[in-house]
Amino acid sequence: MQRGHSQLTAVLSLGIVCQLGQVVLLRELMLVFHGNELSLGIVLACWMFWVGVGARIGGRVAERVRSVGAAALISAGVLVVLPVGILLIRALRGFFPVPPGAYLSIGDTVLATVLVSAPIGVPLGLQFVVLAGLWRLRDNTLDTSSAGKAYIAEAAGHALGGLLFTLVIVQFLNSFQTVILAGVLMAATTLALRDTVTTEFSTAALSTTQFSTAAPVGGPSKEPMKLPLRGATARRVLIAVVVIAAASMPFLGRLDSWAYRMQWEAFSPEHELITVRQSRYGAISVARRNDQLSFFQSGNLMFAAGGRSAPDAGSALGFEEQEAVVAAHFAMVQHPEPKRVLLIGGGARGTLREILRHPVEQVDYVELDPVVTEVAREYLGPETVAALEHKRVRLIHGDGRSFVKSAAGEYDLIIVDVPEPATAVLNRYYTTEFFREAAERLDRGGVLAIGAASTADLRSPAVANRNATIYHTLRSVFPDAIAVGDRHLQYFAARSPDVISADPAALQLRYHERGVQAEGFSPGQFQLLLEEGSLRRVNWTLRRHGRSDTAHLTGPESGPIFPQSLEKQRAQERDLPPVRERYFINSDFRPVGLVHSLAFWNQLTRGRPSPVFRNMLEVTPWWIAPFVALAILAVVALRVLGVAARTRTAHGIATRYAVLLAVFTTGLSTMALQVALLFAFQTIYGFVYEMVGMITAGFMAGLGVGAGAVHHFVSDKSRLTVLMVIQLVIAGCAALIAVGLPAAAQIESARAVLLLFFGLTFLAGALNGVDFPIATECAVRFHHRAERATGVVYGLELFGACSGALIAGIVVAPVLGIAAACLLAAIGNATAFLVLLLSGRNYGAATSKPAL
Amino acid sequence: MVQRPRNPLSKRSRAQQTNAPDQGRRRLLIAGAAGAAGACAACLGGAFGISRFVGAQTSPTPGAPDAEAPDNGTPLGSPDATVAPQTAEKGLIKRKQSRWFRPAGGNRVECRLCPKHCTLAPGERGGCRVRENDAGTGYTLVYGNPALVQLDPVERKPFFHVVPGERALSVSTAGCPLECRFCEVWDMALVSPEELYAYDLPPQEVIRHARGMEARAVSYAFGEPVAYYEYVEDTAALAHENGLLNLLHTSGYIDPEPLAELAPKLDAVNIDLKSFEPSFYREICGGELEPVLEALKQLKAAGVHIEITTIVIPTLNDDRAMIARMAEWIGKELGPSVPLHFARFYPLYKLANLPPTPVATLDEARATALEAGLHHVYVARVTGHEGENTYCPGCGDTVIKRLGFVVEEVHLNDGRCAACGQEIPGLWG
Repeated sequence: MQRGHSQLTAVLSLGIVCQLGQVVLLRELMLVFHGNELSLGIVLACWMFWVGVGARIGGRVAERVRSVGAAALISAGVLVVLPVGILLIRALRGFFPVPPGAYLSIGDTVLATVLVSAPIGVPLGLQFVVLAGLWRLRDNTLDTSSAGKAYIAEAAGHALGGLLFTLVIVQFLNSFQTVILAGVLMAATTLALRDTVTTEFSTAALSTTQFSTAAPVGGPSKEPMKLPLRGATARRVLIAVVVIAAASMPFLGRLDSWAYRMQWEAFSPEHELITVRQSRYGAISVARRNDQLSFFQSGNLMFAAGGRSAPDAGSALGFEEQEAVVAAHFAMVQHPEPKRVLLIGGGARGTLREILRHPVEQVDYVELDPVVTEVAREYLGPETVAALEHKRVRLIHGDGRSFVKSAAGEYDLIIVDVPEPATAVLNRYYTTEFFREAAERLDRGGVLAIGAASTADLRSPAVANRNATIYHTLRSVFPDAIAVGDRHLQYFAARSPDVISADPAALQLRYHERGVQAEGFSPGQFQLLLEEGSLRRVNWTLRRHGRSDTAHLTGPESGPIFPQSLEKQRAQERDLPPVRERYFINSDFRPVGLVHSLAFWNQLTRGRPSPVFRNMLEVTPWWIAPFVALAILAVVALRVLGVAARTRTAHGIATRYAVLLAVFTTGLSTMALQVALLFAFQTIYGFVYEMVGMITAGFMAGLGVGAGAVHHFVSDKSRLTVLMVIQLVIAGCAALIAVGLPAAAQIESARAVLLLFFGLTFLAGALNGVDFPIATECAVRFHHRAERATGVVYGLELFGACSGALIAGIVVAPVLGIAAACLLAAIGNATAFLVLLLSGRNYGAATSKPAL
Repeated sequence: MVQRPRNPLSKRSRAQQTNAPDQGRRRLLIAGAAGAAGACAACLGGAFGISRFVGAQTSPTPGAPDAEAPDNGTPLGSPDATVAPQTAEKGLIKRKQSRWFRPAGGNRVECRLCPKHCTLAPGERGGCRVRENDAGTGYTLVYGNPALVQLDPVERKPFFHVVPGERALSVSTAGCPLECRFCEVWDMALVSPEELYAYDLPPQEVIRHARGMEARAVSYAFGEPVAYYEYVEDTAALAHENGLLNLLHTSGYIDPEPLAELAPKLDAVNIDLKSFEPSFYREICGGELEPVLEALKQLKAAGVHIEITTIVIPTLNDDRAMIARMAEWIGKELGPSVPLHFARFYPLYKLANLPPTPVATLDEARATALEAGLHHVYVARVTGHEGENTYCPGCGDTVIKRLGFVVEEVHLNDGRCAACGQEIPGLWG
């Protein structure tokens, strides 16, 4: 269609803008959330919510809009709002009374996300419905086929946008440039829309005599809405905004740096910001104070190291990086003769350098983030950099989990020196699957060393829960493990008993025998670290905690004033009740350790424990039963009412409800699936931040294909049986994914994982795409107005998606597991199927064709 | 109005119009089904609710005493095996009426222990969480229920000029009048006593344990002793009667009268002088600087051995000029021989995202304080740093060599430098 091209490109570019906006928002907000994947669920939910609001408003507006002027105005608005939104996000911290060095609380971050995504999501949702309406006017149809086409076009735009972003844009453009470019594109295509639509429409309306049942066009209550500006003026406004935007392009690089600096100023004004670099995980920022360099990843302090200007006296460096130095030597002496060592993370903070002081043969150093290495080479002291280049070191850039899965040979010692497990990607290094994989890489006398933040006596439930979980997860794989330290706990685990030693004299002897020359470190420190009282107390607490059903609520018991020696504790352990796996074993597919870490974060920022996290842990799968029962009850009640009612229209009320429920649950379940897949992807592949554009593009591509397929192959889309069958299909697929996904963790090739997840999200999108046009057609039978129906269905689906993102992303996936999130999807659609079945599939007295 | 055609799809609707008698039966069936479904849902919900309620009632099992082996409960390093094992109880509270309250009209009382002077309505607790008004009488809730009981070297408090190499038994309870953002014991001091597991340890039991473990001193540290003042007071009196020293590590946030009564019972006090800026105390700690300075002067006048600790937090209180002023004040008001410890800050609690103190900053702080005339300035929490040793202000020799809290060498003769005879202040005996 010649005339349709401009509509197509307008909606296509809307899709591109939506996707780019969503991805940029996700990445920027992930930084505000300190890299935590909780943000995924929250941002997606907020996005869905506000776009849904926009669509509902659009549903009402679009009926009365006859001019392209509205689309132009909205485009102008979007072009302004997107970069301003990013600025707001960067300035976010400044709005909260938080001192430097403190985290924002989770509640504040959520609030900020909700507020920030509003001005961006609403106009985009609005625009979709407006453009769909204009398309329908162009096509001169009275059904929702144009809405369907618009839906497909937008989905294609999303897919294109996601691919473009991941493959091209992220390498060259910063956030501001990306959104301005996208906005200009959308503005251009909107400008290309012709206003002739209005005149054609009026003649078309008069010729629609075939629809004798049509209600009069533009009846008394449906005056065309007076736009604030006339169409031509609106276009001029848009052109002006585009020109300003285009003119600002050369300055965007500077704006980006300034905005980062502003974000930093609110964060830690007196630490000098040296550089900000984008990495696969998030943004890496480096700050300097005195001669110390601090590395932050997505606003999270990773570590502090001595800089280049540090005096050459090695001891100064050793003191500056004392935590890493001590951890390294402490781990190295746990093995009598470590020849092959695997170090995951921590090279830049000095751990690698210290390991090399021992007589090792080979050190494999896996650095998760190549940007960290790059920055380390530029700014850190010569000794640290030299360690990276050392002949006995094999430096591998990649994901630690993948490396361990596919590595050959055995190690004597595996040292895991990654930051706190406060994000899903880091939590993977504290799971039973990882420990199992690591144990297979250790020879029989091998030792695993891993650390986490703690407090002196682990008194608070938040700290104790998290650290006892790490302990018990280690013990689920290794027969022997101890924990040492106060504000930082160092765990050692071994495959055989009698390998790990807590005897300072023995460790000192090993150290001396090896002739290690370390600066800023003295073997006398072993005595300090292994001080008997603290060692016994900490291990007593960790061993005992988590063995009752309420342990995670009541907190850890305090032991006797003088707990027994470690040997006695070990011996008595078999008489203790078993560990409650549900709360205290951390696994890839049920990352309960992540929930504990979040509760810990929350308690640190708020100062007191939050009931929210406690309640989150209480969620069991049975909680869904009342909702399902309620839905079924509702449809039965409505059916009874409908049968009993007098008017014909009311007969269809149960069916109407059933259709809307089906729409809601499909939105919910496909979003739950997407979130579950994103989580699983993060867990298995490790780089959601980098790939989020690609993955969501897969979803959208599937959406478009699904909707397109329906358009071509299904003739009567308003058949309720078809809708029913689709619900069942979605439920079945979700259940299959739930069962099959954990098996995907066995895949070793990263590329295969990426393809698999792209395929699975494509499938989820396709299922959603198949549902939408059919649901819309069914809904039209009730609403009689195409735009209204589109608006209602689009909006409701988005609300469903919002709920799905929230429920799955925040509660189900971390607490009950990823498989449970998929099952949530399955149950949702199964319920919709049942409800449709029970509703009688009776349209009541609805017309067979919709009116205008 | 517009005539709407019947929906051709809906055969059922046509059937329903013609079969009126069947309608009634159908309605009944549907109503019955709805009722049954409703009943099922209600049962589900009810059973669920009940199970949750029951689950929540399960009380936590207290730590079971270890009933066997000889070294069970034996104090560390002690041949005395008669000290019985002691276990903690969740939320243990031990009340005692306190004289540090003044009536404030109605049934209210005003607490006069620390400068906050909380006025409490009946049933209300003070800002420290451990002092309460019960029907017009003021009580402390932490008399003899320490959450923390541990034996440590004296150096750990840190006391560097007090009986080096000896050990002290520390007791500490919940509660603190301040709320510092960098609190290290936030999970004990900044919670209410109901949330903690505590031991039942009246003052005489503390002494018994201390003697059983051959401790040289009883220490009131790690938490905030001002919050458990009454417990400190009575235990300290008993300690002196039994030849034990009393060591206190406190923020110094206390009123002059209670301090005056406690001071004679104290042998050494380490005060956390967190900053010399009143704004820091207000914004970061929730208190005031002045009362701490007054407390220091008061202790000096009472002749108690004083040591001062300052945690140097980057960007918040590491300003060199401020440190210089602080050192000058200390030298003038308390004397240049008061030991000053600059401790390294590590990210924790509400400042979990702030990098640790650069060691160079600590070196500068130490240099600044030494320049201001103080004799004994230490760097704490940088293990192995030369600032952990005590040097003679006269000849510069290393008088005491330490690694962390372990004393490696002592070159003192009767409290004097072994090399040049210069007197080194402290409690050496």
